[in-house]
Amino acid sequence: MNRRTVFALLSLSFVSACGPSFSMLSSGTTLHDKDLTVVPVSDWNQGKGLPYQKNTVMLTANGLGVDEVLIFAGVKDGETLLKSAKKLPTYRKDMLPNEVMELVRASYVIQYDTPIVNVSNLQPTEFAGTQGFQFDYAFTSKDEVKRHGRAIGGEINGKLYLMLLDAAATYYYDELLPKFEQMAKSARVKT
Amino acid sequence: MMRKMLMAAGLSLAALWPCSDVVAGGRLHYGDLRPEVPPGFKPLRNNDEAGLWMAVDRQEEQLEYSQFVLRQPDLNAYVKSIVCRLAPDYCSDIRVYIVRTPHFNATMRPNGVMEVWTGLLLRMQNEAQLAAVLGHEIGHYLRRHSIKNWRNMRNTSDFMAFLTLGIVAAGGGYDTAESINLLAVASMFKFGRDQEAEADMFGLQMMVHAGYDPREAANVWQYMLSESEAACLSAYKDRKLAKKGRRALTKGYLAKIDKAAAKHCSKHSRSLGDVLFATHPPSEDREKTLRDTADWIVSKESGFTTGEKQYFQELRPYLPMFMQDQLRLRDYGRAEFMLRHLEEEPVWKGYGRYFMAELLRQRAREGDSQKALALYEEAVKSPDVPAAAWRGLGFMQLKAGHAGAAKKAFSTYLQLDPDAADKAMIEFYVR
Repeated sequence: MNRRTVFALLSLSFVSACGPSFSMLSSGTTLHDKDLTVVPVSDWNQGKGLPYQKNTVMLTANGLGVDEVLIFAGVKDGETLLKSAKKLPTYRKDMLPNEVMELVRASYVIQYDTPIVNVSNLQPTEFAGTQGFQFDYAFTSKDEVKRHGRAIGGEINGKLYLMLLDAAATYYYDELLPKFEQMAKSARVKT
Repeated sequence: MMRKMLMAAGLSLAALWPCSDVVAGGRLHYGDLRPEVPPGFKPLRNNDEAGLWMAVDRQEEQLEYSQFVLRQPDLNAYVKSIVCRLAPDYCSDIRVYIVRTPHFNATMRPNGVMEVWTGLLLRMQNEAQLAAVLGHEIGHYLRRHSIKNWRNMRNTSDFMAFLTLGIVAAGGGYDTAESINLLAVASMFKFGRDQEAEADMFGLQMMVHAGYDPREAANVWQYMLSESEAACLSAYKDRKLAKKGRRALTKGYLAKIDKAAAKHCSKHSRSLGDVLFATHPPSEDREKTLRDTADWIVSKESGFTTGEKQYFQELRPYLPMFMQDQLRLRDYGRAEFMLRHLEEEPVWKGYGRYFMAELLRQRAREGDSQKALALYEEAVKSPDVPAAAWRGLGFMQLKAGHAGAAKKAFSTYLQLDPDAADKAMIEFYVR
């Protein structure tokens, strides 16, 4: 093995270590994300090395761009939901559920560079054993694919715990919504 | 045949435009510019221009079905009427697409497709200003800048670099030919300094011919420079405040930040950076050339109009949507600047206060909450505010601990909008 081959192999191992990867998250397996746990009722692929904040878990059933679940486990005051080179709005611990909904909307508007992000059905719901909220959203990014979304979360100990499902409006969203809702119901936060 | 048509079009326009004169600073001759595209132009099938048209025709097909294009007939007819007033011979050749995106821009493709972004419509203060930007874009089209760029690029070593880039991009999973096409199309619209200056002058010629006040072209640039500076000042201040935290907010510290921001942003304002037309001549030079030329024109001719009243009459139904899209970018300095410009419009007063209150509530700097509360209270007195102004008032009352007042505001909100998308949550707040 000459020096050039060693270098090439090292580079490859470096690339593979830093690039995105996926592992299976089987139904019934408890997923720990910081102090939040959820138990999925269906199989998901858990993404690693993707451009999200440290407190965020990303799951997909059918692949990136088709459907995504984002689980934010404890967004602190002054932090953004998404990771971006763009300037995103930050969470404030005095935010009302309406303002969290605005935060999600503005984060998507900026991150996906689209004004077409609509929100609806904001309502109180139980989340992780406390008073939380949920809402629906729909957005279209530059690929012109219509996506629907559901957000469920709540503020616990001054931090925002939030789960988002967004999926292509045709077929995938309706298919995944019941599974997402069940997973959200299983959410627990260590207090 | 084509040459004859071109000459005829050039001569007819030449007859209408004023004689040339040397602009201060010297290189450009206002009034000398003639169209290089005849009305009804289509490229010959067997030349390179036909290939380019194919690529941009494909883009137009996407626009025809895009969810980002606003189809409202009245707004489209209004913008198109300005295009036709500026370039009557080319009225049927130019197809306008109004694209819902809150940034300032308009583009023109060589096949006659013009994109007008809603962020541009939001910023313009009158019809003459919109005509200045549209005229500039038509100028690029009539002087064939895209095809000239394409041919120029093909004849230089850049072409190989561009091809390589296209093939690399193709390795990422795209079809090679498609990637090359996309890059080709993108590269055509990077106009050079001379082309931008030429489009400015051609646009000015068309404005004058159509009876628009040519001074408004320079005012567009003045507005954009001021907006950019306001955005810079606000972003700088937010960065510093975020670093220091609220403890450091003494009057002395705030004054220090303001001074540092002014110093930082005075450099920034010399260039519009990524705001628009990054390859254009330096914005201040451009503004000066346009202003000097316009001053010279109005010293010789009169009777120009700005069309301010007409502009707000036509745009009024759409401004709330455009401003809402801008606010969602959370670019507070820029949005505040725009709201300050709109606040004098009589038909906009209620909305203006509502949006400013929304901005302050979302920005949430020290002192913003109190100002937001006061503005919501003023806004709900106007007949032209959305129900959401009552909701905003309710939020601020709730945060201030005024449960009774919050309940009253939320009740009014739900009375005005009984099918509100957040009805269940609002009812929960006041339970």
